[in-house]
Amino acid sequence: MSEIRWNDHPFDEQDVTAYALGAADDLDDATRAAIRTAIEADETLREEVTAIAAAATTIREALGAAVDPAPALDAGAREAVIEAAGAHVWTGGDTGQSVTSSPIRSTHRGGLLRPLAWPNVLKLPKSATLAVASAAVLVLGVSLFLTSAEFFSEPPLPRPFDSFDSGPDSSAAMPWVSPIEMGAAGEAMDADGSMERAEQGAVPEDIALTGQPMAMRLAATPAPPPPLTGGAANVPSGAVIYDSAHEEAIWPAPESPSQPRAPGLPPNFDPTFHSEGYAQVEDNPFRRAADAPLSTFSIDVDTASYSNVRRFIQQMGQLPPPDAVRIEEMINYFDYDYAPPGPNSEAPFAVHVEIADAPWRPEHRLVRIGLKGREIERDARPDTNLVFLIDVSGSMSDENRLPLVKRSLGLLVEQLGPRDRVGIVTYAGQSGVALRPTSGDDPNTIRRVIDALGAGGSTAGAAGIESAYDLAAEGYIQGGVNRVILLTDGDFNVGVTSHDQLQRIIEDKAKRGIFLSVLGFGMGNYKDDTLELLADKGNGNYGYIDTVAEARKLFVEQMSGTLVTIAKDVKIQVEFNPAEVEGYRLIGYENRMLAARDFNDDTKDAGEIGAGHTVTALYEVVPVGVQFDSPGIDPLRYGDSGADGGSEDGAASQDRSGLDALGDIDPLSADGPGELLFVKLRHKAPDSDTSTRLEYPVFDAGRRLGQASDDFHLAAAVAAFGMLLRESPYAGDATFEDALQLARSGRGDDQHGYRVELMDLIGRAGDIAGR
Amino acid sequence: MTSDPKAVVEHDLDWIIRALDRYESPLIRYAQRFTADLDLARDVVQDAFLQLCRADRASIGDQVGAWLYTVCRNRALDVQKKEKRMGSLTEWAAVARPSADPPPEAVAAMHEDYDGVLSALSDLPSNQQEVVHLRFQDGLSYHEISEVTGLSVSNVGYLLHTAIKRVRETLAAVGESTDTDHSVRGAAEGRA
Repeated sequence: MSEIRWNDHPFDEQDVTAYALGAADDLDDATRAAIRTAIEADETLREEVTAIAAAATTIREALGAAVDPAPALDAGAREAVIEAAGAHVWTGGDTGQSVTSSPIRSTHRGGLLRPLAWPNVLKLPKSATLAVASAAVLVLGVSLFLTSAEFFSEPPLPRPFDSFDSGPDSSAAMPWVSPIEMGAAGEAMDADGSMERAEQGAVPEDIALTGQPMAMRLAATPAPPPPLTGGAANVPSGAVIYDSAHEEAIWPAPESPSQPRAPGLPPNFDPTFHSEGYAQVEDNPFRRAADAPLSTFSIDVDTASYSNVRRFIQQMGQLPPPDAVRIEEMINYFDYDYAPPGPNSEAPFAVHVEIADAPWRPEHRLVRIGLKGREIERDARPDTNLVFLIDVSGSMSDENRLPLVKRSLGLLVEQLGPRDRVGIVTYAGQSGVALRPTSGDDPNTIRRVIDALGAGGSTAGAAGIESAYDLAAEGYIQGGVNRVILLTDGDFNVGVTSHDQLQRIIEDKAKRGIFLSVLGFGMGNYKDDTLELLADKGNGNYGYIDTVAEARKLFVEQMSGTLVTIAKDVKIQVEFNPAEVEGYRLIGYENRMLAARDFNDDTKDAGEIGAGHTVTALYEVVPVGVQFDSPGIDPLRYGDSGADGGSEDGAASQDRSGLDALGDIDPLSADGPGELLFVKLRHKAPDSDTSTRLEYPVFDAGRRLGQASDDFHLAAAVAAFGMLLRESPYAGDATFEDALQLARSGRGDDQHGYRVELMDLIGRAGDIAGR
Repeated sequence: MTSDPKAVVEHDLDWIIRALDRYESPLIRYAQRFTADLDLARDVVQDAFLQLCRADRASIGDQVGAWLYTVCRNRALDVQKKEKRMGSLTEWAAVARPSADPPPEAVAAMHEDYDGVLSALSDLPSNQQEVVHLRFQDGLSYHEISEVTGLSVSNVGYLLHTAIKRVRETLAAVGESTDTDHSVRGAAEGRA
């Protein structure tokens, strides 16, 4: 390795370190530009930067591992602080000794504590605030966003469910709508869909009060911070109620809401240094329900985008490139408290729907459609035949690649038992079988092989994948889980095989029951687009492992979901009722969209769902009567966007007849008033070629955001966060601070700490964006 | 300002709660490096937040993070003097407390993996340890670290650079036998 000749450069080693740490903002423009240019020309320097970044990652991880769990103040101390805040605030402020001794700049605004910029629905008269002091604490348990005005515009115990519920399997303890599960019976009913819908349409009124009322659910949520009651003496009323009128008085809105930056690139993002590959993603646009009433997409249980985004923010201290942000994968990173299907249900998953205000645009509705896969007990997990296909090429030598692969596999091997088999194939210059199928009963042999893996050579992925499939076929378990798991940084050199050929091999093997999952590692030359495509074709999931904790999530906590597919080719088609819906937009799933006719076409591939997996999709819906100003769509010249838009109806009926003419599109329903949309799902058993269909009409009970579940808040928080990172034109007035607020009110139980981590991520992203 | 104190209170409470949520744990970790003792660190952090309640918010602006770290540091140094725990910038590993939740073997595995790094870090001079902590554990920028510690920005850059270099050297010495062949990787990347 040649030496770096520092004297040739207008920067020094320390500058390069700062650059590699993602602290480019701390360098002046000239130095930054000089380093960037030099890196392009000098491979040794480039490697130095990579090595420093890798060392930094290791340090971060080591420190992160050392401080678990996070220490906290005890409740009394917190209470005292908040009481003090109440007591001191209007005394004008006394600058403490440390304050004067430290040069705190306040030259610019932004970052974490930017003012909230939610629209004005939060305003309320002072008298109302006084009147509801006792309610205020209760309100906090649900959401810091909920104002008393909102709360009291509804009956004290509003109808808690938005849509439907029925059946012996429904779990009355869930604040969620339980599913109507049909399975085979649903198939039979398809022929008479109208009858079925009429029946179900009657259901909500009857069952509305059978669920757990909202107040009970509140009691079950974690108590609001104790100081709020403790501080009541100083803070007589409505202590935590947000009042945007005063907000403005105290914190004038910043002149420019976010710092300008090159389109598509985060601050610090350096195109010459990174060679990561991301497919370009355009946000799904708003569509008119009258023009395009059907929205069809494939489910996606992948979570890679979230952990990749986390890696950018936490480890590199920069915002991810917008195309690295796939909002559905971020939303689906989190587990939601959807009830699984009941024990007698034939459907492999349950479907839930919840509707409330869209936080970033309260005149819009946010519809959350949630699927929950059947859970499989650890002991009931089918016999498993796994083949790991491990990239040991030179590019995997970094600390956060092969060493992390080894640690991750070690975690998985601990979970395996006598009914499981593991084989290992490596690929680099040439591929080779490192371990023939070996029983999970013999973890030491498996571990020895894993420990001995070393990086070297270049990638020849195609040969490796063929050996892996051969090995999987050799150990094939009839009726069990047969899966190849590719672990790579995505530098997938297919050799003589074209990408298309590779895809065909993968699709072919998936049809024969050997699925492919992909786990991405590493940074710098990570090929996100290739990897997602491979997993997609292989009926497998796609994860990104940035830390040992993430490996633990995928291989230990969610092992059944990662390994056991319970339904494949799961498609969702939502039909919007133009009598209720002006327009709609599916948030995320941009590369999972299907044509309307693909829904009923069983030859069209779609996403898989694993045991216990949850899948969530959010639609932002513009109700009729609300101004529909979708960017990119001109207002219509003939007819306005009101409920009586005559020409739109004409266009719609034309469109409908066109769809009907295709023969395999379901008849549209526009039943009674209030039916907002109609959800249809298709799925296949993992070993079947014919799909089963489920369907549900959905009504909007008009819930406000504050009445929505914690999970609803969390999903909305992730969506808002994702839209901000993507610089989406649909983010409305949302700020990182808003997303943080939402995440806080959606924190819930948070058993594994993922939601707190999200709060930290949003906070950091806000800091970076405001810096 | 006293004309409608309630509004201000409402607002201010929210501001403090947000600051608590965001900074409480990182500050306790940071303070504990000076005080060694967790409860003392908690006291320091509580004091810092109490001081924040009294402070003039206008002068803090959006720098509440750096402000809190600065106050915490000063307070922690006071406590350190009082407790006569001079020079006891705790060993990194000592700050780690075994967690009740994760299964023990997992903790053990992690510690094994990271022991080398942590011990390399604890061999660093205390000023290097501190900037490493502020940068990697708390995500502060060079400028913020400079504000908190009173060091110049270029001094912060020097300390971080030196610290990382040392850690890399230590790890390289340990993992000499393992496979970090840069020329091979370079070749692979060149071809990709």
